[in-house]
Amino acid sequence: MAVRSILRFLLMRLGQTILTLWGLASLVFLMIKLLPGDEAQMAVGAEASPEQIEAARQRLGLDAPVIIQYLLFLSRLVKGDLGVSISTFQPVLNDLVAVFPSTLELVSFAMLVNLAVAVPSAIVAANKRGGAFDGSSRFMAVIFGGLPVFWLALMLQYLLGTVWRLLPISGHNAYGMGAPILTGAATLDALLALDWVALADALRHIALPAVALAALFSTQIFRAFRASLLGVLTSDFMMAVRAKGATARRVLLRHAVPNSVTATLALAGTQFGAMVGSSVLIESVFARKGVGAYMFNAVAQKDSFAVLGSVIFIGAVVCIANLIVDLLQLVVDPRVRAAQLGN
Amino acid sequence: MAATSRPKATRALALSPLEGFVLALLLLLLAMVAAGPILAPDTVYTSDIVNALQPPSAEHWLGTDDQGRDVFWRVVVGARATLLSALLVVTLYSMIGVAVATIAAAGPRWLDETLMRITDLGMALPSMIVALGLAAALGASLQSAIIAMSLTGWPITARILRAVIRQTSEAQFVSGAQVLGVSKWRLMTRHVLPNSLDVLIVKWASDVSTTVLVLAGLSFIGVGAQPPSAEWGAMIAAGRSYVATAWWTVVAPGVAVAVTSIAFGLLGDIIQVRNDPSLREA
Amino acid sequence: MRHLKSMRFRPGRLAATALLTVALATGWAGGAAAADRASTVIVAMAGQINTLDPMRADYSQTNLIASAVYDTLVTYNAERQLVGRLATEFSLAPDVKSIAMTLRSDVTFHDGTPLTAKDIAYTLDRLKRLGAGVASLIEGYESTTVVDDTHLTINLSKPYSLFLGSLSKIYILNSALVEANLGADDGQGWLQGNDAGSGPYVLDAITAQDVSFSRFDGYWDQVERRPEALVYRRIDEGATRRDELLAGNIDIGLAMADRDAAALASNPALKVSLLQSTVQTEILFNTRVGPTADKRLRRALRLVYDYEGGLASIRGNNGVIANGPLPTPLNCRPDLPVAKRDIEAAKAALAELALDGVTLKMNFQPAFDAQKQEATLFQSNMRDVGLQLELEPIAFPNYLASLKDPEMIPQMMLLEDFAQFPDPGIVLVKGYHSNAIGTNRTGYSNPDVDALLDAALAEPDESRRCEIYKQVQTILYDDAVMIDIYTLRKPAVYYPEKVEAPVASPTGSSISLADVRLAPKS
Repeated sequence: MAVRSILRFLLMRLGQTILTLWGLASLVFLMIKLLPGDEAQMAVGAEASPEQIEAARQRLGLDAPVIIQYLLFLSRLVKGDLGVSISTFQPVLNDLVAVFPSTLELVSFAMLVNLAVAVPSAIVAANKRGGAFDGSSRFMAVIFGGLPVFWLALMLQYLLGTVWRLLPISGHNAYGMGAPILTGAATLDALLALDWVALADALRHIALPAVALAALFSTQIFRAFRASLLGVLTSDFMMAVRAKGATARRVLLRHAVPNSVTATLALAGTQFGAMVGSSVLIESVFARKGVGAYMFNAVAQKDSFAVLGSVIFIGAVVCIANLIVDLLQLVVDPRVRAAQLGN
Repeated sequence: MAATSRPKATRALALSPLEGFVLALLLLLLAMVAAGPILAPDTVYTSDIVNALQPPSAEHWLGTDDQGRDVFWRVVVGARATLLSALLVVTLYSMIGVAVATIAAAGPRWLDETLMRITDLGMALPSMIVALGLAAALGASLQSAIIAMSLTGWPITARILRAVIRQTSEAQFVSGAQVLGVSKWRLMTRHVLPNSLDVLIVKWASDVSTTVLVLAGLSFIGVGAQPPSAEWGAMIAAGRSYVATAWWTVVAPGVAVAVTSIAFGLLGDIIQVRNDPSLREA
Repeated sequence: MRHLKSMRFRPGRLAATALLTVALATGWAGGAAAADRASTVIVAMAGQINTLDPMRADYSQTNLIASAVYDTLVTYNAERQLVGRLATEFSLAPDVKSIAMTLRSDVTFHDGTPLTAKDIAYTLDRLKRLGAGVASLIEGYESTTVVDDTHLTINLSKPYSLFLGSLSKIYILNSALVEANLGADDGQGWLQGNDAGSGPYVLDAITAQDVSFSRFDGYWDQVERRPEALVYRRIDEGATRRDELLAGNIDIGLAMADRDAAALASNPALKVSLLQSTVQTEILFNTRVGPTADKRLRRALRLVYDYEGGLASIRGNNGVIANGPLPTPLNCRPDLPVAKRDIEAAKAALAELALDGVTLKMNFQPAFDAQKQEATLFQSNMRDVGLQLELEPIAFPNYLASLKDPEMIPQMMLLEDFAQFPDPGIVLVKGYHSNAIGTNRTGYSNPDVDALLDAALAEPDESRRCEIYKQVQTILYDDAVMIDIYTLRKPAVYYPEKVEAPVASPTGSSISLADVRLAPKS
């Protein structure tokens, strides 16, 4: 593998990511300009004194021509200044960084559940195509693929939480079980503090939210992976492998699965963004904190800078996640390597 | 129809039981959208507060909600808010996606690159987040939710269509037509696009399936349809406090959303299988 | 044959799974809960926790938290009489323009600094400087003359008979601490999440979802059975509050949905306490701009709402239908008719107004379920008289901000309003004086009312003030400035084995956290 071609590819992808981020920032700048009302007033809130409004006007450079404002805006972004929330009086970036680990934790566990359920099921289903498991799992995939996330969350919360008292119905941890807040993600904090009881408690609190979030995405991975596996299993290439005398298991695992991973990885990558978007629903039902809940509160309070700051933040996160997925694909799949680096 | 490169598959005109079921379901849903508000009694938006949260009975087949309104008829009427909006959104952005994809594929390289960067941007923003942002700017309403979903939906469609168009363009029959001197534009509209239609329709159906869920979700958290709209997500939100005591207020609209989403999802599957019978399962 | 092994669980993976299972199981069994759960009381309420800065005690959530962490100079007791807290003596001068005060000498802030007169001066001056939140209550404040550590005189620029009562909502800040953390916004950013108080609890931690406190053992007012720790949890969903209560994760659920309270009443482990506060559900009109500026329309709309249906079905009959602009627990109320629905009369009145093509609009706070239901009910009631009502959600801080400009005041706003403290004067002056921009919710401007209220403000005699207030209320009723719906009794549900019955706070919309007591050990 030529190092130069890897480097060139990396630079190109990085360049694309930066371009997209720049586009995102410009879009948000446009939105700020289009919002009705006085921008300085929006920055400091409706209760501010005329002096504070004037100070904001100076700071944001609102008397300068638009192009200067735009450059100022970009320079502020690069420094991490997303503005100040008018309801919490804190810098928006600080607020988001405080709650983001919680959302990341939720999405990570959901992705874990997603793959842990979908991948083995798809393998078993593809292996015994047309069998009982295949039929029933495909049926389940159809049903769960159509259930609204928030509705499933409510039903799970009611049945497993309220009626059968198996799992907690809201929050991150029970009173007194929380480990000291280091990252903001309850499970990680418990892990870092080596507090196993707290960890178990945090896991119990995240179980239902993660499952509710994962369900729909799990059906997508299941169908895609299964279809991909079947495609490989029925291909001419596989006939050759079988002719060589490989066992069914070997055929499946050594050949079919690796060939299907790339496409599934790509799908999982796009699901990340959708999961972050849907986190607002889960966080609402289970009273958890996170960027979704934060943004929702900001919208309710017309905290414009918090809203737009959230948009930039989340957009940037998803952008970077897409970059990581692309790089992972490069590592995992020689065909992608050849395609991307070969030219 | 324009000339296609696919061998004319023997179209089985008969419907399998599953296909028939799905089709019947879709017809029912469309009937609800079209005729629901006409058939429903006027009391669908009228509060009869003393009869709130009544269980299902002969008079109210699915009980009453927290304002005393008949749940069954509200579900019927709500189809228009939820499903029609979803159909509108997806059709709209599919058209935008096709247009963008065509321009990108047929136009100069720099245009293609620019448009692809714009789609990158579109794909970086989850639709829920954009909908929240738009709700902040324009106020919470079904309209702002629809605009937001239309804005975030087209990039993926554009990307997929562009790939399909390219693939089709490289097929032999097209270069054959080019040799014969057919113009690029004619090539696109008469030969390439119709072949891409298959993919588009399947995607359209699957997109309606997911858009119904997202729209309901937006109304659930309060940035979509507002009272007294019978939109299904809003109904679930209103019934949220009563899951334990009046389950019909949550289960009925939830089932409605699920059935709609599943039906359109299955529709997509059916069309896909019909297009490419090799995908048919046992 | 390594690849074959990949189908079996590798030893490492097996161990990890086992560990996880054990961990989950121990969690299941309850594990070692926090040792002091028994002496911690967890209270849950709905609504955004925005800031701890006691300047914003006009938000219910901030007021609730401030009641734990801060002290006031005076307060109202259960009989609605003004009594001293930090102030041992206080007297209003006959010209109603100054107040002489003597402070307790044994009060310390949580950081050990003694509380002295300069802290009072600092707190009042800061409010005057920033002019936001509860600053509107201390209208007319000029300055404080600090005589010595325990003696001061508050000087007013004009007569203001409500000043003493207003001090029950002014929480005293630790001036040295705030000065050390001023930042660029006079300490607002710092006070958003920090504690500068002298109250019975010290702030431990605050997140957007919960606030935790521990008992301040150096507090000057030692009482029995004050819990060692308090947690205030924000749970917006009524059903979740109910379920967490049933699961024992909360000890006191505030502002429970009336239906839930009725269902919980049959649970032997729980008890319902109906808190009689001054909370009144109202629909406030914009009396200056738009179609609602017409008194005749307002009077007609007053006949439209289904008062009895709403009270019965939405509020579980926990309240009393209104008869006048003031909530029923306050005194100095004239004899006014009880609100009633009369569709025919409404239709007749509306027929005389040219209302074709006019869509009316009402704002409401969607975070509160009952209010959302009431808004929807009213919307439906309006259809009965042939009117279209559009509903639009609004958040409380944005609503308050809109009151600054009569053009921006919502055409109609559904609100649960309450008296900041139990003096009819504060409701009337802050609500209806044309100068009370920012708190005057209706943009109401009537020179007769202004004159009466000014007279009341300068009147040192309480019974004479009372007469004036009655006159004002009669005028307000005639002008149909708002639709008074009902005064509420909000259910608080609690575990009687764990805590004493919660009592309504006279200076808020629910309880005061300082009043929470553990139940006596039987």
